[in-house]
Amino acid sequence: MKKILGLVVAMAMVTSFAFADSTLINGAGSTFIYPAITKWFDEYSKTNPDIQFNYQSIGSGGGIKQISSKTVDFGATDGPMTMDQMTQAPGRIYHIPMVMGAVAVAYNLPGVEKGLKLTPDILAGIYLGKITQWNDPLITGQNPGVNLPASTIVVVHRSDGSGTSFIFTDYLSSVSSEWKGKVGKGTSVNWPIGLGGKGNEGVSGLLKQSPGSIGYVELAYALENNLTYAFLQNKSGNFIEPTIDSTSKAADGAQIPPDFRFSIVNSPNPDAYPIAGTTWILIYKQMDNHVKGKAIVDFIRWAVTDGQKLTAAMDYAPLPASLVDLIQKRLDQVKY
Amino acid sequence: MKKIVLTLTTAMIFAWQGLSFASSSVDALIQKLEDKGILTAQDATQIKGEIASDEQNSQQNTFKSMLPDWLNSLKFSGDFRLRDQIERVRVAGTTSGRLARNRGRFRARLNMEDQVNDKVKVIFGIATNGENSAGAGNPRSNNITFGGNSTSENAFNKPTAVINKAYAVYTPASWATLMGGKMDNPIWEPASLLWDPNITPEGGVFQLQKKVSDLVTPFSTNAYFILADNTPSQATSGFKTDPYMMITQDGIKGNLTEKVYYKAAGSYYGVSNPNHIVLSNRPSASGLSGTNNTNSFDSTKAFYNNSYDLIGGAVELGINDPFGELLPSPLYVPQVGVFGQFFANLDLSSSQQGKAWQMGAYMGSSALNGWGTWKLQTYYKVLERDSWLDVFPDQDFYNGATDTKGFRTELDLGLAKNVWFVLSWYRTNVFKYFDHLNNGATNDAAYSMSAPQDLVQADLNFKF
Repeated sequence: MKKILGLVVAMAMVTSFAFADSTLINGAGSTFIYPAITKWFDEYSKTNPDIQFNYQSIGSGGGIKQISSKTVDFGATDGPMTMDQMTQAPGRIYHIPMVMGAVAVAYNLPGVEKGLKLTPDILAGIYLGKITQWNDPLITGQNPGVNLPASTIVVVHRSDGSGTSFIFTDYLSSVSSEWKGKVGKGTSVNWPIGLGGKGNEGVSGLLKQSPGSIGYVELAYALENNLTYAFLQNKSGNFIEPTIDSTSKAADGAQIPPDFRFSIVNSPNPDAYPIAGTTWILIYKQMDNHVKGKAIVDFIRWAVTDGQKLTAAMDYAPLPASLVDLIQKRLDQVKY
Repeated sequence: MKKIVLTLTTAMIFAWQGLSFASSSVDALIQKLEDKGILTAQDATQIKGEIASDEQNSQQNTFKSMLPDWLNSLKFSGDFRLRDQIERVRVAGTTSGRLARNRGRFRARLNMEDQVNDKVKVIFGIATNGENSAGAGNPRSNNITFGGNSTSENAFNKPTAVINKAYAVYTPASWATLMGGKMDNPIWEPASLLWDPNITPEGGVFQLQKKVSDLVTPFSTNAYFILADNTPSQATSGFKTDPYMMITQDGIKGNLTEKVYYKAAGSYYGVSNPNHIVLSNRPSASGLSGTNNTNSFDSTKAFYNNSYDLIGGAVELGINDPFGELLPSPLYVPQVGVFGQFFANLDLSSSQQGKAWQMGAYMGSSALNGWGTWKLQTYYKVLERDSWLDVFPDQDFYNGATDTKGFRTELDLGLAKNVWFVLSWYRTNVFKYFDHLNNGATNDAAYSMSAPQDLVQADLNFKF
């Protein structure tokens, strides 16, 4: 009887130690990074079973709010925090780039395959409402031999606050002074024209049901859903197809500031796709909890190195090696 | 395989939910599956979170769909403040007497805002009725003192509430705003110089603001505020004699770099006919403190003698993250800034006391957002006796009188989400001729005094 009792007590102790050693990391934010982060969690947990993750994909804005109020251990965002947002946080927040992605400009033009060539002026003109017909001379001039209809362009954009919109409007602001002055960049802006769709699904749905429409979606979404998309003229004047490789090239020529709040739209690299962006994980430099702090830093180190191989298969562009080195140094500065 | 199990499990749980079992039953089921090893702890947590979120959304959407549109767009907000204050004030008619006391106070405000349509919203707010020796509705305070503020208020007297604001906002374009009613003060000050922060002026306002670039956003505020409706005894020449105020404030703001920001504005205040009626809520001429200034006050009629034409401006310059990584991480300083403000009353000769100015600095978080956020601010200000109507300045700064000078220092500490603590210290004094008529002096030169006052306030604030 005593043996049984001893066994039960020992089991209870082992169980309690097992629970005591388990660390739950809470995160929230970007929907764009959700598939990648879920994959990372699964793989990382296999070799680190004592680390549990819970990530709520509530959008970049929600991620910034949650990390600012310290209701999660890390946030994730597709648009960097503004200086105003950072000065409202109860501590210094580090931006850690985790993945890069591209925004594809998709269209529904029956009979027109992917690869319609669009220049920055054309794209800004369409979204400003100044180019309204598909057979506008500016478009036909870039696409000789393509049978463009004499129909109205149906402009589609996101209706919800999204990092994809941030990247897209960041690009338009960088190539069009008129767009920058009238609309600007942000996760949610006052669109001059167009129909709003919620999420990539909403935009895609509007594109599919509206012949003559044009919209923007994440590259991974466009590839998975076989959407026809445009080749965009980059800063060097080359028309570039959105691919993982051309997205990675966008970071090659980018100026990386010390706080990592960089933009890779309109990259000077001649092979870069011009509408590319980054998703950052947001963490405090001074972590409140030693165990969680160490676990988060260890996880990020793994995700930006070994983890990048996993996400490449999911249409995310891997981080350049030079950037990974800088990230490692930044992680060394995190206190916990 | 795992995905299939997860999907099947989720589907079963949702079906279970569909049978209207309580969420605790669903949790129990998930726990069972976890115990049996079908779900990992992480999967269980994820499913519970998703179910809770879906359930909440479903309930909210059902409830919202039952309400009319205008009710769906109705927003409530408010705040509650508990205060303990220690004050050491001079005794009227003396230069050396001091009276020290401790008071507990509270203030509660509730606001409702409804977006009537795409371009119009209406804001309505009630608040505790600030105590006022001249009657109800002190425009400069919504404080209620524990135990009452007078001999007739004690033994748990029940205070009343007042309409704090009621106004409509029309936005015909993103760069233009029209407001009418009793409103939040639209005039910008880097810190309180001319205006007590509790004042909600009445009248109409036209505002313009358009961002040109990150560097420059011009703005303009133009207000017409009515100070008093003429009393019958004064109404010999109709509405033209009503005291009113016209203000124009024009300025620019923006970022010189990503880290350096600024705001600057020039303002004109024209106050007409203040000598036509008794303006209420002036600082008391008797009691613990007060002001009776020769040039702005006729002791017989208790009217202001002067009209006021103020011209001046304000500048604020700040730096975000000024120290970068230089300081150790626990000493993070998000922002530092300095500001200054100056006004002169053009209706007075240069020898008269018609200037008001302040200089200050601040450091800390740009907003209090939970534990760890903080802000420290201090400024020094001078209000010469005829620089401004003494019914408007900060009531905690030498009882809101003019002919005053002093420091105000404030430390704000975020304690939790929507909860913060504020410690304020006012160290104030007479500027030059304060209250000389009440003290028997026959002219300005014959009477001057030093009568410092200290006021320390500890506030616990709650926002909802």
